[in-house]
Amino acid sequence: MNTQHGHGDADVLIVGAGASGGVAALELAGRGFRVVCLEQGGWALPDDFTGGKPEWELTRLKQWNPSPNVRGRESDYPVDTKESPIEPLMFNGVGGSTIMFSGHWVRALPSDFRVRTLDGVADDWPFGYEDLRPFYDEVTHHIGASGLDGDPAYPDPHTFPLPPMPIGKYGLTVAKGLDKLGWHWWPAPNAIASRKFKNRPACLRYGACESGCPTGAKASTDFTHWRDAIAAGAVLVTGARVRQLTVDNRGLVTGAEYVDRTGVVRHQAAGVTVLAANGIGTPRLLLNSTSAQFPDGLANSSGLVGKRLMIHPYASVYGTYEDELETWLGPTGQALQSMQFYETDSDRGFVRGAKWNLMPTGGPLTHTLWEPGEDWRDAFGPAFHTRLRTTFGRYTEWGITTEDLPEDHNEVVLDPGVTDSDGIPVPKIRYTIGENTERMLKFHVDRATEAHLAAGATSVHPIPVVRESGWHLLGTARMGPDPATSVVDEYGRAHDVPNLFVIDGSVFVTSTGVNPTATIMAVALRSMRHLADNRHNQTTAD
Amino acid sequence: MLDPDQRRTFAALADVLIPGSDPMPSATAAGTPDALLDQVLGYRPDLAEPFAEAVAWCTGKDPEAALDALSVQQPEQFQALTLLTAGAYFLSPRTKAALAYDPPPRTAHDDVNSYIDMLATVVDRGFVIR
Repeated sequence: MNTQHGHGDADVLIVGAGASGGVAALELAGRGFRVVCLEQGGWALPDDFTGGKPEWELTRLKQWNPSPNVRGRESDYPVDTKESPIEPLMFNGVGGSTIMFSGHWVRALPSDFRVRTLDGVADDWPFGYEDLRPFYDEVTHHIGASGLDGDPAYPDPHTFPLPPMPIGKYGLTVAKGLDKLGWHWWPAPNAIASRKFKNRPACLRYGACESGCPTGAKASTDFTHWRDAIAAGAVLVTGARVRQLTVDNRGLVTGAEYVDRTGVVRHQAAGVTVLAANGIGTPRLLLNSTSAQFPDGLANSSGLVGKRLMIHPYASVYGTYEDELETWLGPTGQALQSMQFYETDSDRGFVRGAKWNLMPTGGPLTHTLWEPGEDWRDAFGPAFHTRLRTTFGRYTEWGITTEDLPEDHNEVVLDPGVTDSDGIPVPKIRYTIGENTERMLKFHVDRATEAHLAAGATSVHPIPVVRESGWHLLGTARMGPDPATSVVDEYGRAHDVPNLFVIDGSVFVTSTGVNPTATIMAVALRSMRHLADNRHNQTTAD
Repeated sequence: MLDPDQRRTFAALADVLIPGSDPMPSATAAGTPDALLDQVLGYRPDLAEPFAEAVAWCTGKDPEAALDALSVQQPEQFQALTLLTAGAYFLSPRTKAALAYDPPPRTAHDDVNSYIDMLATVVDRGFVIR
């Protein structure tokens, strides 16, 4: 097969146009680098999304489902999840998973970076909260996050450029319950514009964040980064699925081979290559980039590429309330968050903790879905109206994001027997929920139940582990100072390949207990700024 | 597109699935078996086949007994049938009027004043940062 050339000379090739890829493109193009980005998906504009349209509730279950296995678009690749209790979720396109994320914009806490020191588990990160803080600040103000200063759960009164989103009737009701218990809560930070911000209008509260914002108010990186990066000279190639990275005889990465949408195999050369393809896509690509020099995959002398997958097992605890609380109103998005049980308390029988987010529950169809195995008379017949009357507008969710610890047996591997539509081996996930996390889940579900009851809920419906919840794909190419026990250094540079960087959630040392996008983007900015600042010392391929 | 016989079978099933309950209309009173069904099949073409299979499977049977058996023996078809039935029902103007709610869009008005005093208590309680 003939391999065609890509898009000219590039100083830096970025693979993936999502959260971290957007940060890299804007930082590097703005600093004068010639940047090319290969993205397997395309652009999605606000009018492409169905929120606010009659078809929304039906299409969000299929065409705009967050699981690539359900969505099944040409830009998606299948993920074998038969050995995982949790389904990985992502979007492949410009903006990556920020297109479909719920916009919870939460910083990790200081203890997250010191879990070995404080709790004797896993490893400390190679830097601390204070090192990352300026990058959190910069990214938060760049993307236009909404929130309220002064949350006592943090050591600094970090600021937001926009006021918080409304917490609404249901947020106020549940906050009163937490106050009765004396528990922490705060109006939640969201990567959603509560007022017009730069090129984004204010949120119109469709509650459709997780199927793509129809307003353009959500801070997805197609809006927050890519338009400016392209204006600064970055070249973004869509419909370009990378199948492997290429290396020279010095062991440097020379770029990537990719398949365009016409089926032509092309090669994009670059002096430096940056992987930003998420915690599954990045190890998939590294493991598929075998050669005589790198028989176990690129940058994998530690054997840790694909290992230590963390995915944040997620519990939902729904409360039903007597009063009409307008729980169909967005954003989705979070109204409140609570860090009451985030930090370790050894009396609980586990270490680390979880962040809670209070969320709305969508339109009427959501409340009347039947699942196989359920008695149909519990959902339909006379029960249809009973269920609708008691839940629609009256049903709210405490979502619980638990910190899972890194374990080598939780991993992403290649399935050589199954390929995607371009003939590339698909990733397979092997994941089990650890004992520490199991205990954590039970504890938090019990506490969230108490919280609903204290707020006046008439009934509580817990789901101890939500299968379709694997948004947070972390840890599969971890950072660290030691090449024997980590894949990349603290700036994302591969120990084995000095001109290869990883900047997505793969680099996380531990998972933290919060939604990771703010941290992913802050860490990516720190890494790419370091690359730009040290460009004259950077090894490059010819 | 369903033929008249298929549509009659579906209507009978739909009214068992969603009977009337004041002020909510039944499925047929809401117009579910008519243009609304065609509309939702257009939104979810992937469900057209299992939906047609569900209707065919129930044809000539007592609707309630047929739904009992279908839900157990052909869950994929039952899921398609119920999802499209409810999806069409909620598109009906009669259903929307009976639900009596004010759907989005809505301006994101700042409501900090409704809870700012409560937040002072949260701050006073403090938080142990490790």
